Amino acid sequence: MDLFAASADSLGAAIPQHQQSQDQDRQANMDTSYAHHSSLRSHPWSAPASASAGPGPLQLTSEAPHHGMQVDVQADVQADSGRQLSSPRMDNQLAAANGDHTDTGEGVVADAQPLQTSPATQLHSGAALLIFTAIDESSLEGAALSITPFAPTSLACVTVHVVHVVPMFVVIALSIHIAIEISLPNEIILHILGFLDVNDLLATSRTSHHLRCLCVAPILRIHRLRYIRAALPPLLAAPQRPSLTELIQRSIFLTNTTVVSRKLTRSLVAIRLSHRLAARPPVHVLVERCVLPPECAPGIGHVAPALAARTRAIERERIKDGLRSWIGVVWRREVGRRSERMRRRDESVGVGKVWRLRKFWERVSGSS
Amino acid sequence: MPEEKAFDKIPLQSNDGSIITVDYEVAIRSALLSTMLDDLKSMGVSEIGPVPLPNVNEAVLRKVLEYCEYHRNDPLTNNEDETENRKKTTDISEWDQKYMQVDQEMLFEIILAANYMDIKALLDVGCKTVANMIKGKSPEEIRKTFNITNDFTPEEEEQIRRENEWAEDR
Repeated sequence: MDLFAASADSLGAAIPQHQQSQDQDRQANMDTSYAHHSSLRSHPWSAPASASAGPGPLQLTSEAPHHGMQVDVQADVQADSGRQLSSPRMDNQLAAANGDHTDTGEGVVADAQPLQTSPATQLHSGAALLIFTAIDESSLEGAALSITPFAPTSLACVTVHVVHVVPMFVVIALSIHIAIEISLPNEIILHILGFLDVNDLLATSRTSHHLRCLCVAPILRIHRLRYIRAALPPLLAAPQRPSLTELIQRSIFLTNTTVVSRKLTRSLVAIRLSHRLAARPPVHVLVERCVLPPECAPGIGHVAPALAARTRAIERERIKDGLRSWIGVVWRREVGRRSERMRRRDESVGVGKVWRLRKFWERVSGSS
Repeated sequence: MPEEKAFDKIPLQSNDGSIITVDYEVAIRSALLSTMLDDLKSMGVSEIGPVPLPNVNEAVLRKVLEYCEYHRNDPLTNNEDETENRKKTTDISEWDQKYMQVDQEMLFEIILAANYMDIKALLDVGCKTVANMIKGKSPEEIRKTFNITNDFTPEEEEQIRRENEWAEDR
């Protein structure tokens, strides 16, 4: 993820302490956004670039990875009066756009001095710090509009946040939301989708409506089938695969003869069954003979015999469970009663703990 | 027997006005240029001015020509079946992989340029690179990678998830 970060401390370092405390109260919080394209939405397959900035602890961050590059800007602001503070990239763009002449734009003080940044710093999507000599809305608008020509391709939105106000100057963070409209045409997207496996294709189809339409396009399936038809024979010819004869023997590969033979067998069985069923006595006779349960008769329940048998089995099990629990209760009660009776008898004949202890020691001494 | 050269050097003009002169063997990697040069040859044109490529800027053109220069000696394949067979594997040679290590904006522009200039091999490599960027990713990761806005409602997402359930790993 791109990370454009310029700490508030580094900004503060450039501003005298006594001014900072005064400036806290005067810190403006004016945001201005300019949408130059109605399509702020991203396009499928557009190179991602976006940045946002906010006042206070200044964080210029990019949500989407921009060209997979890690960027970390540690802006060390040297806020001399009338000096523009911007990223090197923005300076380069300013210089490139204006030649050697640095245009003051509308409100932009353009004596450009690059920030002290790490050598790898490159801000593709715009994030810039500027000092303005005026603090009114028109200068902010001017700042936003002056950025427009320097965006790499198409500028979607410029957001201006006022970060610090010092006497005469305003440190401003500009965040430029850029929607680079490099939408790939459908035929190229289809070409790309042609390289994907089914699971990746399904994942892609879940990203947006547009890609879903393309992912389910029949042409992809046709190409896949054509490719499989071409790619399958060499795969089938691999030596580790079982031979055709073996596959036929294991009924994995069905020859036409096998298929016809199976069909004939099934037809034969069907005919035989229908004859046998026709020869069977009707259902009510079977119910009368107790071959079928009564609920299987058409007038009563018309339940399948297997279902009726299952219902009965469940009923039987339920009764068994009830009996088991009843017997369990009765048995526990009986056991308790008998043990109580035994205890009372032992007590009445003098068989108590002393007797049991004596018996135990006698047994121990006898065994030793 | 090698085909006789129509021209030695071909000047190509990008949309920003830069002119880059390339060898004939490099230029004919592009089917667009190859056909055009053949036509000019058949018309008896002996000298050629800058060929405008209005859809390609200088940076992208240089990058495309770098590819053509490296692959100048590769056999030119016109066989559709072979292209079709070659299509489904996403293997990319080592040099091509390094060549494609560019930012996404440039990658897309290379693909568009390859499509416009009709350089099938380069188009394939570009598309394979993008396909490899998709492979194994979840829908959310794909959206993040390519800056795609999710325009599905939660109900639609759930429906599609159910439809795709059969292919999910269990």
